Amino acid sequence: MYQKTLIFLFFISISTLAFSEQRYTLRGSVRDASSGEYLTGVNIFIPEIDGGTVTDIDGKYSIRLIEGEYTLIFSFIGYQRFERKIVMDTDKTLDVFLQNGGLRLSEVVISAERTGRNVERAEMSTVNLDIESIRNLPAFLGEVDVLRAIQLLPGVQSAGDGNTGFFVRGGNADQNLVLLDDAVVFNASHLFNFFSVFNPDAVKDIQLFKGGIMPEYGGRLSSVLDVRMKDGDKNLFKMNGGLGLISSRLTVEGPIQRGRSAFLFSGRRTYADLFLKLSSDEAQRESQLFFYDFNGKMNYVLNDQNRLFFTGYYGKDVTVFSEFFSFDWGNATSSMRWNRIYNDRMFSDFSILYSNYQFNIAGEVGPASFNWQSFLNNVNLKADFNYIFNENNRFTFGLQSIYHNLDPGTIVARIEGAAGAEFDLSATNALEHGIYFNNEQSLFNDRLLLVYGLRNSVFQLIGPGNQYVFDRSDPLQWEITDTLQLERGTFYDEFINWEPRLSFRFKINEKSSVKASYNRMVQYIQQAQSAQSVAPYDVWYSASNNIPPQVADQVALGYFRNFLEDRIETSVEVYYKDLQNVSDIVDNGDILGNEFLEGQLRIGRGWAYGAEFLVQKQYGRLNGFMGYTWAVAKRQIDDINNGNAYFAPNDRRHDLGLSGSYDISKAWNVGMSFVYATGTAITLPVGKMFYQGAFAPIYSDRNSGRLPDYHRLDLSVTFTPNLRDRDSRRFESSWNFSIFNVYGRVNPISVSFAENSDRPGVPNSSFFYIPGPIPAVTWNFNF
Amino acid sequence: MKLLERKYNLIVVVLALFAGITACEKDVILDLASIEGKYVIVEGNLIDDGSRQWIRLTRSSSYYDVTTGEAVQNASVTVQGNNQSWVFQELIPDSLPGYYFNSLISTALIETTYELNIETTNNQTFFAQSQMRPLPELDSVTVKLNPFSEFDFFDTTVYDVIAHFADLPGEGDHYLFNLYINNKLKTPRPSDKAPVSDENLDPYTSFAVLSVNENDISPGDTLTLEMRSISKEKFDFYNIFFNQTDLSGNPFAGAPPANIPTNLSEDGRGFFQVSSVNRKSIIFQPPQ
Repeated sequence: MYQKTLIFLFFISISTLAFSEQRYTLRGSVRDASSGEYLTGVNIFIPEIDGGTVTDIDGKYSIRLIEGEYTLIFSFIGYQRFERKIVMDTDKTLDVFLQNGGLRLSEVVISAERTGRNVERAEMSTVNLDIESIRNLPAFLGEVDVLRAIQLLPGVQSAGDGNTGFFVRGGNADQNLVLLDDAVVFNASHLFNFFSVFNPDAVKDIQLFKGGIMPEYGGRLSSVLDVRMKDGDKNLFKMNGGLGLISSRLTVEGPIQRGRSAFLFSGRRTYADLFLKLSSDEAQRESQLFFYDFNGKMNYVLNDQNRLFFTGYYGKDVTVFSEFFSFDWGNATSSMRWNRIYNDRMFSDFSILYSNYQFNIAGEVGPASFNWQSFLNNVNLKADFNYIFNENNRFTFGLQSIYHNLDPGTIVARIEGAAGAEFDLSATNALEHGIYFNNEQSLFNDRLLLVYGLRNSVFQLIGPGNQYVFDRSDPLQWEITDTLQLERGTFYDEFINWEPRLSFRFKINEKSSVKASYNRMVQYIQQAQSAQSVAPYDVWYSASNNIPPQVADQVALGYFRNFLEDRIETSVEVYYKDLQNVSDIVDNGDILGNEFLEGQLRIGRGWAYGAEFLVQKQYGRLNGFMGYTWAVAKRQIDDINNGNAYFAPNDRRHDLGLSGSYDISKAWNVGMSFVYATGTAITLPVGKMFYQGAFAPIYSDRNSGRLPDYHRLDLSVTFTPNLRDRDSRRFESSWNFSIFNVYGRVNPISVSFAENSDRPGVPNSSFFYIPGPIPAVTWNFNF
Repeated sequence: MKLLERKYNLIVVVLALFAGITACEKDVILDLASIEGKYVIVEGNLIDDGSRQWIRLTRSSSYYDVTTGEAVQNASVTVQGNNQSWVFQELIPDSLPGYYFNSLISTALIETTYELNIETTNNQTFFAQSQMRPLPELDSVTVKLNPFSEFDFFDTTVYDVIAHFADLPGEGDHYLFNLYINNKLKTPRPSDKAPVSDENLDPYTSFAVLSVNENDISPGDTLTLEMRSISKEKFDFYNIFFNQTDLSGNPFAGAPPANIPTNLSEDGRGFFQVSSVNRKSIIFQPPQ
């Protein structure tokens, strides 16, 4: 502790070094000239100081400069470069509007960093995705999907076909904090994980933090996926949409009060189930399988100091099997943010956020019925402050409180004349608090950039709730011995953790830098994971007297190098992650609707390490990227696999993602993506036993086998017949043709070991998989 | 077709249907490691109905082997309990290889703990314990139309077989139901049988434990319902057997692969269970 204090004091003393020269603050905002939308991540380069800054998520920037004359160069992908001379002899404000069309959007593929920024900025293990560039990637069934795009990047592994879940650096899918305008999205998938909940027409910007995570984020171990919705056009009404084989979407946006406030509404619905109506089978005709979602956003500029943002999302999946059975689930999120600027050095954001996930399984046939409803609710109050000490020190601090309500629900099953069953799974209520600070400090003429911060998190369980006591004498089968019922308002379990976050960037020269980071993350709620299940009956549980909070310590080191005037960016990162209190399900554990779920979990440790390589070309008619990851992810839990270490289900030794786009002409663009990954670690049979006329597999050690390697090639062609001039307002449309899994590779979702259905008694193994190739066509329009 | 005796069985089965809607299935042969012969599989289910009892010993085989596994012959098989000991022997060598019989034990079984000891010719030894649990009287058996059949959910008519009995006082009792038609066992395999826990049973229960398809029974046939007392471990064994075979790999409802638990000592698999048994028979007439 003494050493930590010394280090802290050292940083504080550096940050408060006095500056003798006269300095002034330049601040302002950068917006899209046509829509008025604030632009995040615009690069502002000042040759005289050989440095600069970037705009924040609200399109704001601020920099302290010594008295003198400077050249400001504003650049942003997809926009014309803007240059302006300015004399700094007093504090000044400069608001800039960038003209769209500096580069054709189709020339941009995934930009892991904005041009040059991958070398410049301190953050490592961070990926920015441009939504327009994602549109150029081949899309599954024509549905552009941000989560599928993310899975192509190094360090991010796909959970498999038909699954938008993703694993980051050996972490589980529930260890990713997925945010939509700051509100948590618990289940980011539609239609049994085939599509994500993010409507591409409503999304502005996506950032994924795999490491070096800033202390403003907490509550998940592996990553933060920060999705920002478009603000809406403050000047013009616009409409865009698309008609696809399985879905259609429509987005409208425009000013509420021209120049000051705007709205955006976006919706989509799948209609593949309409084809079921053509079926000759009555049960199929009466079945449904679809989803819909709506996004809405409004923003108001009250005055120069105050802005308000309202965001809402509602999505639902509906599955009806014949008249007997229905299964629906969905997310709802809403957020309200008040952005306030106090002066040229300080601004704040106050947010109220709400998230909900629920599913409902119901069936009824005459006197037989069952019903299972489950809810997750989350209310989050948050305040974040930014204070600019000087051009070398940006200080952020804030606090948040989250109320969690995890209600696995009640399961009621009845058949007249038979025994019924009712399982009331007790809900958990908890408060999670976080307080943090962070300082970004530039040293030695920006050659060295230090970012250091600390987060303190507190998790408190509050009654009403149950505390379970187990007899653990049989390590494989804990028996419940007591259930303590806690009254409303009783605080009964509390956890406090300190989470230090450090990173630095050392610029070797203009073209290369070295970065390193360390962060500790703590996670208090997690999802019960079934290795194979892709069904959306998410059961979340919290830290408790039986389940300590999970803790991850990650160190990462990276080398970043740009070539050909930043047109080619490369990076190499290595990381090591130590995980404490990792949980896994005991053999034959029952997680589906089990009130005593905690008794099915065992706690141990995990570790993951790997190396990630990325090469990308951002400009020109041909552009794209190649990412490769070599990684290991293991766990060791005393009561699982005889206490021997085993591979995590998300262990992938090799993972290659290749993506490219080529402009044949102004009207024609072709895109491709190719992925290769070592097969998923699974438990395979090493023999079988016969008992009472049936056989059953005898399995190997946990996850000691592998599914076959995964690989897939997707292609797309985009034709834009009536490409409009930049400033014209006429109708524009494009056709997108895509083929998913071009050569029809069988990539198994899961593998079954059971007897052959046609030949009883004969052992069989089979893959469940998504058949390919899958062609799709989508017509997109905007005006 | 059993409906509620397994928790959420119906939910799981219907979810499993979605695998068929959204994904394809393809048979494959995988390159699997093999521990052929490593484990001895013990199938020992002793009951107190006075009949000749048997215990079957086989060896584990490689997964794709289509045989039932090599029989373990010439082993020493004994059961001890209540200060007595019974030797199980192969009666006619090679006619039923791997089966060991005893004609006396059934009438001597009482509610106590029994030990099984096996020693093979290559000096492998196996041990298991089983407590014979009490069993309530099976008062009567009736048949009624399955509620789903009333709505033509199935292609054929299905009848539910209802067991009427008073559960033993307190919780923690487990039962296993089998169905015979004209004295032929219709539920031979683990997934056919109905394991029941009294956790959610009323003190007096009329419970649809098993079902029978109209194609498998005719008016005038003798329908016999058999009820056995089993341990919680055997109850779990049957449920897990179902999850690990019938639902294996189902992407919507499948359980993570894991070995089916056993009460045999190391390198033994299967289960040794001593049960009390009751049976009730009726002459089947289709319910109106």
